[in-house]
Amino acid sequence: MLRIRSVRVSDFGPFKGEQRIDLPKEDGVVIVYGENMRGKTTLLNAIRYALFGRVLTRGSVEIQLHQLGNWESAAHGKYGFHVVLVFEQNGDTYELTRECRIRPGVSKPASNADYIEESFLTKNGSAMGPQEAVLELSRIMPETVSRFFLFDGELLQQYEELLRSESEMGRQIKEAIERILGVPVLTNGRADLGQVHKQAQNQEAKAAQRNQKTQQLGNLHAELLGRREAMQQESTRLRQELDRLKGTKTAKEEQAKKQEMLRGLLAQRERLQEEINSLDRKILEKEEKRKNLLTSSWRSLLAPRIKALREDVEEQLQLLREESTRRFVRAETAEALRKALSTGRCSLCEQSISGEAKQHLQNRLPEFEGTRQSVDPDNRIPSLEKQVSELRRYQTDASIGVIQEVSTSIRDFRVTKATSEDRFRELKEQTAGLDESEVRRTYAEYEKAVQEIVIVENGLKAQDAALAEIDGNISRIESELDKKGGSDLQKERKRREIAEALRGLFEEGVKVYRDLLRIKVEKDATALFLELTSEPDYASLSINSSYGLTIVHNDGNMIPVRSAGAEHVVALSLMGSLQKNAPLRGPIIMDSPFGRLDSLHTRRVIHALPNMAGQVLLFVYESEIEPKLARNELKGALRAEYRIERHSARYSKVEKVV
Amino acid sequence: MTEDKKTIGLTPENRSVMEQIMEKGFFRDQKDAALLAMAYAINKEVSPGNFEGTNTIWNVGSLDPEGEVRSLVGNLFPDVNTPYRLAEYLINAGLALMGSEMATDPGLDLTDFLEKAQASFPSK
Repeated sequence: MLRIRSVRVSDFGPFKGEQRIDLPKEDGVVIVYGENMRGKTTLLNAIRYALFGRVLTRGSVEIQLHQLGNWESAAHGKYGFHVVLVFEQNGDTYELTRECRIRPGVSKPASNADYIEESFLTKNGSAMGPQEAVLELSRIMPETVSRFFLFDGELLQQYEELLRSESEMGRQIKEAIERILGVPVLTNGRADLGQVHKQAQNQEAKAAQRNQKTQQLGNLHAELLGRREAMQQESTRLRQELDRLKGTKTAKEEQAKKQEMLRGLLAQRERLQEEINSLDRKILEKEEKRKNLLTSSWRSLLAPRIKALREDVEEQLQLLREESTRRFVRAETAEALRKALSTGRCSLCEQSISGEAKQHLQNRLPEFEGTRQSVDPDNRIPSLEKQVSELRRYQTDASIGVIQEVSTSIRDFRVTKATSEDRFRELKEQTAGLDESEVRRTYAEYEKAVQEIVIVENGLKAQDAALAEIDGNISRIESELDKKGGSDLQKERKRREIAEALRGLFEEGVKVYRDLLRIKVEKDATALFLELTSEPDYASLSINSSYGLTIVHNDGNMIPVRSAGAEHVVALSLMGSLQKNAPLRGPIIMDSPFGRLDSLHTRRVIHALPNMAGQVLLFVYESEIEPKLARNELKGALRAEYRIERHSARYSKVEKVV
Repeated sequence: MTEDKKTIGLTPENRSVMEQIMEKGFFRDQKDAALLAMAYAINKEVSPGNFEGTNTIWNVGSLDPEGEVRSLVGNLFPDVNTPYRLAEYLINAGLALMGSEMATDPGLDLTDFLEKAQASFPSK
């Protein structure tokens, strides 16, 4: 039973310098908390790297080694990294070191070729040879079954593929499940016994050929066996070809999906280009408008000052005009009084004026006299009128506010354009090298693979039918030989019968073992599922021939469609059940497994973790599991807590939570 | 009596400021920028004065085809008999002010100058 004791990483991903996580000897759960981009997945990858020497993205693309080192250390000229994994297996302690060093003579590495990669394995303190170490590791943790021990919660929905009979990924997962459950022990035995049976048949044919009585039958037997051997070889070749074609089909399907996405990005890029062009036009238009406005901006800037000046001049003009009017009225009045005094009659009503009235008018006359001189001897009124008229010329509609408004629009357009250009640059990088003809070629190759699969499958069916026929003929010949053969054939016949019986036994054994496994996996997965699910109407899980699990309602009906959360719960139930039934047992190391679960399911899963595997190591963010909730649910089963602290975007540190 | 100028020029320093302003692409013509600089100086209450060492850029007929500048300067500065000489001085003074402000804060935009100039002469 594999148990990890410690993980040490040095300059790996965001982990600058050496950092370590110790896992207690006692079984239970260890949680490592870290927010997004702090390095949780990197820690999972570090374990994967130590064990298998490679790291994959979620899309199963291998990450280049030179991309795995710490960027901050690299910025200071320190390249390379190493990971040390200490683990126990059946009482032995192993220390596995895998390191990547810069190749001598290289100052700034740019690719994997600039690194030297080495690994060392010690067992109970003694170093193992390279070949021995590889064999030992593949025995302790074969990469083909690692998906059941080290997994990314985000990828749990892949197990849904087990419900789709035509799915290539489903087939691969089924094979991995059978490997972890130990089915190959029987299937390999069956294949070996098939070979032994064939050898026995050949020996029997040779013995028959040596005897004159059975020579003719022996020759026929040998010929049929030879033909069957050739047909079986052809059958094997066709099966290999079918696997290759299915692999091509899956790869082309993936490539087409990726290209489809790229084509979407290309369309987006074209839309952005149009948007940028349109913004350019708008900016140009606004800039022209602003240039026009700026032609008279000096007038706009001086407008308040000119207005104030004009108003002053207008006020002066107004005062002068009023004074002029007043003086005119007085002069006219004085003239009328003088006329009345000289004629003795009122100039308005033509009536005679009395002596007393005359005296009164004579007394008032000085009040109106002496004002005849001009109010504007310097002729200022026309000059002021001219000035007002000139100042009115400077009035303009182009207010500074309008210029500022246009400038704000230009600035806004430029900000939008800069954002669009940034996105455009990103898209340009993402779509660099995208070739429409390559997209068409991918589709054509996919179509070709589909057509060839049909042809090969038909060929295989025909081949299987021919093999069945030839097997029938061989059986008939062997029956004939049983009747005609003497004691010299008895020994060979017995050997052939034993081999055939043993092969048949293994054949039957594989069937029985698979059925038994399915029953056990279904039973244990159901028990775990009922512990995890919050839905009381769900009664059990039902397993199919590919180990796909379907939820069964209390009324006996299958639940045909399930939510992403339910997919996760079912997948976790399968993982727990496989751990219980696999001859090979180890820790469960999960990255972000609760992202799709509600709080009730999260609580139930946490509670059930100690039942899923002896050792569980979780990489989670705090909103995925509240530390308080984890402590309450796990109690003593929670063995240690770590937190990944941010020091900078490229420097994270693992710290133990006290 | 001093004769008024027939041409308007800029000092080498102000010519460089003018180039900086034109590089920003706001103005169609240097003439527009020069008149804005003049208005800027007026709003900043620059007192009339003299600039030595200017090199001719415009002839007054091309800078002020309608005689608006001469008339405006005459209206705003009634005691001045040589409006184009004063206009040249104000253009240079305005550019010098703008140049020194741009040197302090290279991020200054045209709208910042317009705002500053407006704030110097609040409406009544």
